[in-house]
Amino acid sequence: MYGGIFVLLFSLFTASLSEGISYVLIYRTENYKQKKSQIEKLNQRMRIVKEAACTMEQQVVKKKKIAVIEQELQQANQSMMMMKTKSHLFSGILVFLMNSLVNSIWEGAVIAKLPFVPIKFVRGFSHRNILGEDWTECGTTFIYLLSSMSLRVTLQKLLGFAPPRGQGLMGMPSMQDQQR
Amino acid sequence: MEKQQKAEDVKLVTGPAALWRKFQSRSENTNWEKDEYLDLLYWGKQLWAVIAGLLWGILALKGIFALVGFILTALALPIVYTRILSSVDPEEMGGIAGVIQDGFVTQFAMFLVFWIVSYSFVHF
Repeated sequence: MYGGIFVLLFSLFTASLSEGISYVLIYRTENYKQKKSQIEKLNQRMRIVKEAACTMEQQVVKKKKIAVIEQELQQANQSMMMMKTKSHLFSGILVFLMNSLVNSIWEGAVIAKLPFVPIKFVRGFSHRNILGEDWTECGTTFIYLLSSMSLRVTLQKLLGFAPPRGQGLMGMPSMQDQQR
Repeated sequence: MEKQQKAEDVKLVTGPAALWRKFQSRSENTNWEKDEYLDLLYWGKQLWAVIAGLLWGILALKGIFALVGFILTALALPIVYTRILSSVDPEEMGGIAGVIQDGFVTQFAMFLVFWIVSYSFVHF
């Protein structure tokens, strides 16, 4: 079965196209570059302040410093998220259109055989539009979803477009960073 | 203050090629920033996901044991490397949980897609 390879390549193409659009709309702008560098610097400053040893009296000052940096970081992250909204909208539409195109080409077809029996929740994706109860038969949706999850993120990282670490959902600091 | 400014000005090595060069020329004195180290592990994880996916698929490893086998290796490799083989302090890199967690979902999806596609291509 070579359908899986086709969907994998198709997903790679879509991810490249989507990143290309994002580059033109956002990543090449001065505003984005400034914000990105600001977030990186703030993250680094936060780490230095948190790691610095201090006496009991200095603890209050340290906490204040951390609060100020956290606030600046939150503002910068939110402003970056706003910038990215436009590109996310285009990417979302593109991914949806491409997914529809792939589905229309391979509608109801088994394009891959799973080497495991998926749990009930996963069957909703893997066995979508496929007749019968052989749960190891897999349609386009599951492969496309997995490819998008893995290839797009890796491509972003390769091109240097991935969001900086410490940027959680909706521009808020991640849980991991908050706990530290 | 001067130390703080200096630390802020550290130029991070980014990109898999530059990280690989730094990894190859590493010594005991090589200083890894947290982001650099996690990026290095990120690329190592993705590489292992692709290799393991292809290997599992070609060798027709199937079922829950194959899946759990990959998850165990995916958890063990960064732990073993961070704790034993590298000279970094795990706590400085976000702790063992942080080292495992960074890029794990992407790695797992990458493994699944290569496993399924290669298994279907070679055996059906």
